[in-house]
Amino acid sequence: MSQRPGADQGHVAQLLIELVTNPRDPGYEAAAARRGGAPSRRWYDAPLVAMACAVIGFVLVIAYVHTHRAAPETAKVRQSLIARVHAAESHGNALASSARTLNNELNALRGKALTGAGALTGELDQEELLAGQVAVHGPGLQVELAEPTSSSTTAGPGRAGTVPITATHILSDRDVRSVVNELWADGAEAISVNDVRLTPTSAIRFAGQAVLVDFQPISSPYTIRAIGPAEQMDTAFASSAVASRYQTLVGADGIGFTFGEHNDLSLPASPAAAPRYAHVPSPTPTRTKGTR
Amino acid sequence: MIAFLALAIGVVVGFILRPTVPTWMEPYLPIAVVAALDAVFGGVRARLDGIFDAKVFVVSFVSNVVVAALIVFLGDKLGVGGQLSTAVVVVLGIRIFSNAAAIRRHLFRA
Amino acid sequence: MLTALLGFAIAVQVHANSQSDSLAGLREDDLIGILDNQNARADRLRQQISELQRSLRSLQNSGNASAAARQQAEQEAQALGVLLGTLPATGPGVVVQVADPHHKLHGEDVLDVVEELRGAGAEAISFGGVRVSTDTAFGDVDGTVAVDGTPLQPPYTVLAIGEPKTLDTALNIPGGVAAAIRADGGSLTVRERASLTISVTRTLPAPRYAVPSGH
Repeated sequence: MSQRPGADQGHVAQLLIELVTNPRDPGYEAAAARRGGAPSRRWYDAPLVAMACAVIGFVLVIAYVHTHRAAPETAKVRQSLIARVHAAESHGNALASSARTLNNELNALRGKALTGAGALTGELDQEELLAGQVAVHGPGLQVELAEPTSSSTTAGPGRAGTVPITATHILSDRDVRSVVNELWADGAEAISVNDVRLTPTSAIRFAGQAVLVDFQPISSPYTIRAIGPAEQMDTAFASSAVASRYQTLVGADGIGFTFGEHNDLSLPASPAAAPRYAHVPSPTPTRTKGTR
Repeated sequence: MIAFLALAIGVVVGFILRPTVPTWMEPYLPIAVVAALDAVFGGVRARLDGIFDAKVFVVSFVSNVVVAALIVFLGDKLGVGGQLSTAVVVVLGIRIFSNAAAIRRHLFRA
Repeated sequence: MLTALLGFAIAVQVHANSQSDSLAGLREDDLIGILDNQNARADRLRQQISELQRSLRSLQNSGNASAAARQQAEQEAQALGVLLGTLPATGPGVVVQVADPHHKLHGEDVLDVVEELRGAGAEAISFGGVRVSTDTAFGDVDGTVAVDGTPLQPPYTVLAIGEPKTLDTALNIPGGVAAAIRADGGSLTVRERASLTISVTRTLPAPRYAVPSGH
């Protein structure tokens, strides 16, 4: 303990040297030195080795049996879980399409009944469009963000029972959000992400490894379509901090990042629910705390 | 020889009995496996180097298992069980690799 | 020959990865999370469908179709006005105070707060006196956070109308926005309110490029 830094370095160096030069086990070395080189011949040698080997064989088999006993169960559970997710997805899609059909029916019926109330319907139509309830098309900008194509496989850490992740994710919900935010700032009138239309209540979030837009899971590549003044948006987006950030990542991490003007982009509708908690205050305002 | 025969017998007995591992023993199973493999590789290499000693073989296996189990047990009590378990597996794994490399050199002179 | 084998193995691995179902690679917890979200989406859609059916039925059954339609249209206009921010809104919700004494927060950090609120079901949001809508953009102007180009000074008061407990929980998830803001030396406090009013509104620019697809 007298020369502390030197002694510490010595330990670390010892470890590294041992790793690299691969010396023989010191236990065996010492025993051989004591014996003087000739192989030992004690009476208990063979039985001892035999017993140890039997135990080792036994341990290895126990471990194997134990691991594989659980495997079919966990695989089955996973499969059923994946099946349930798929079923929920298609159920949700079916509901969404019937909601769209009903919406169209309602609009048609209303249109017929409201002939003459031009101002009201005009305003309503415009609001519906901006709220994402109507499918639209028009010129605009399309931005594509993609995970690097050579995804490295990372085995998940941990003990038995966990399933390894098969791809690393560099892009997250924040990246999609940044692009969308920038597009709104650059003059977009309507935006869709992987064909999910953004509404006033849509959120772009993260659940584990999947990006969720308005509760719907999407995966790379992320196609963001924004309708608006194409040339103006292109110039503004190209010179934005967001665009230069992802341009750098293309070189650094190999992500895919492209954007370009389009003459005619199509965005689907996303029927928005009527608000359940918020409503317009009644004409006689009641004094409540927190008004601004 | 005797060693391989005994190993085979242990394997067969294991498959016949198919014991269930109690849950408290589960975290120590990977440790035991890696310690066992380390003892085997170390023993084979010592044999090929001509310095094999039965006592060292048995003692090294038993002590590896006991010490590793103690470390993991302590780690579990202190909240670093998973990480220490990984550390033990990594260190013994490195030893297995270097012993295997030495064995390779003996067998293939490569 | 070995390198050829290696190359083949890499090719097979890449092919396998690109082909696999995007769900197959996820952990169990993630799958369960996605399932929960799908169920939430289904609930929301079912609710929408029942509302639409109700409106349809009342239109079809009413004697004076025109008046009923007008009333429905007005109701819908109000609902959309609340969501888009053209009308004041009132209801239960939360009042969030975001302090940023070191001025370390950027537009994108603030955007995280708003997205978290939206994800938790906020129907009307105002940030620092500016009403938030679909196309509200958060950025930075001369080093200060700007909402739709208007620079704001911290501390920021955020009002959000929705289910108070859900909104509160969403902001305070361990490792979520509250933690991120605290890591930057700021603070985020949430107070649940049984009733609050957002009176600030905004005007909506008429869409000039987006045209209904007519189906």
